[in-house]
Amino acid sequence: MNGDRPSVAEDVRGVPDYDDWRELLEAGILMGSQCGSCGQTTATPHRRCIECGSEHLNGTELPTTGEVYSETTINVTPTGFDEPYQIAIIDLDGTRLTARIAGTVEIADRVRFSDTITTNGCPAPVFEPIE
Amino acid sequence: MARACVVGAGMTHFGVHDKPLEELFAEAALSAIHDAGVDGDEIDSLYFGNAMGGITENDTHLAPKLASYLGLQGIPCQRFEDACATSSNAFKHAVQSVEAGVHDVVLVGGAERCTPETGLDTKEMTRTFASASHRTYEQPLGLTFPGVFALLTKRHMYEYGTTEEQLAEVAVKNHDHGRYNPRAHFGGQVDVAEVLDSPIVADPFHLMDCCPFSDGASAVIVVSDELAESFRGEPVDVTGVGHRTDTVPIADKNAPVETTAAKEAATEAYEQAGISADNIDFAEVHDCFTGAEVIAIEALGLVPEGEGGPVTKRGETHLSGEMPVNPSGGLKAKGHPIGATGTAQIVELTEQLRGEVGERQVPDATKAVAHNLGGDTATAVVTVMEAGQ
Repeated sequence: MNGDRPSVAEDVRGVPDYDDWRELLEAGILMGSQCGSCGQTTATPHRRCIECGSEHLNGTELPTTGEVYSETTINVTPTGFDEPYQIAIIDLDGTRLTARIAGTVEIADRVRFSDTITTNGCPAPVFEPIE
Repeated sequence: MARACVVGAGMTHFGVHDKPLEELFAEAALSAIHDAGVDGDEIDSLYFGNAMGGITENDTHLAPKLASYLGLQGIPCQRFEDACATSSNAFKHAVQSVEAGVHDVVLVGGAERCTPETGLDTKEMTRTFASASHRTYEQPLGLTFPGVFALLTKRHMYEYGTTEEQLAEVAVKNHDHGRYNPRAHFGGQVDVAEVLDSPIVADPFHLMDCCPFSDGASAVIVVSDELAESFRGEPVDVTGVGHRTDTVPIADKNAPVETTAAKEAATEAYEQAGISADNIDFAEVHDCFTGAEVIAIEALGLVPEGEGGPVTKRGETHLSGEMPVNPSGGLKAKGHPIGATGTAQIVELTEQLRGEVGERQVPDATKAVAHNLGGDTATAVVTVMEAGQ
């Protein structure tokens, strides 16, 4: 492991925000937001806990493998996107994240975080099937 | 006990309109005003819905603009935006305002243009609709609105065994209903094979599983219960309006497939009305995609969880069935001009409960529910209306 590789523990000071999320995503880390009061975890940041309303949220490293909760292939794409692509909601040990799929998956397939794509400067996670 | 009454209702044909929003809305508003028999100077306030005019037509600050065209400038006018639930939320606020005695007579409605008449093609309009998905965590993925409801529907199919044929039956039924609605964008006899043979938009949805891009406007006149009898229009009671929201983005929703906001809004609306789902005679639901109707009738408690597909296949939600759903043709056939859809559902409930819709009339209907979703189901407004005593 590269010594310059950022980590959630070292990089996220205080409540995690979008800037933390995208920087870590681009470095290969899925940063979730965990409530210090009730433990609720989401895969993207909120400013207060969506379960209990606590402001005490901390960055937490999510697993990079999970299971497909649902999926669809977008054939009619919006401006800025061309060829059809598959999008899936991934269940990462109980925390869900929406991602692009490299390859093809079905519900309940195992997948791993493999890459990012960037649209208009905004990165998004890409997952691939685990053979 | 009515929270408020609708004494006038009107809407344009839903379809393709090459005219400015103010003219589109005026047609619906005048129809509602004439139906109610309201004098222009009796209207105290305008509650107006438009979801995307700022993006599609570079047209904002619409409430006073549209009011001015109708000679209503001066009164308080406000514009609402909650994606596809836009004018239902305007309606909720109108009901609250007359119930609280803030206003006596309110004009409420919505207008939107979504067809290529706006100058935007399918890809541009697909991008515009996707503005309701999460800006940083969903839009960069290329998630579209057919995609959003496809994700929910695919999971529903996985959990309950709902089939593509059952989804197609929703389209077949709503197109059949649309035949009897002269204001519907589409309507006609189609079969399951035609739906399944149409091109795929976002699987499991084929083109014919999707509502069309439509232009149109709708409007109603809302008055207090005490004043209702003083207007020419036959009053229909608003007995419950439930409004709930859910987490955005979709991945953070606790139970995306059940559409929690809609379930809770329905519970709230039924409680206000003092009824249960068993008392409902028909429903207008948010069938932006066929799978959305299957999920909607379960969320409203009209059918057991997971039974939406089989119930549709058996014909129970057809006009001739036990629980007619979308007698207007729904968003699927009637059309879906986003900001006009919520009050168009209220127009259908009003006219049905008065018994004046002709061939698509639900016989002896006295209680009905309207279900309107916004965005990825993060907004839900459920309204119960009852025939006047």
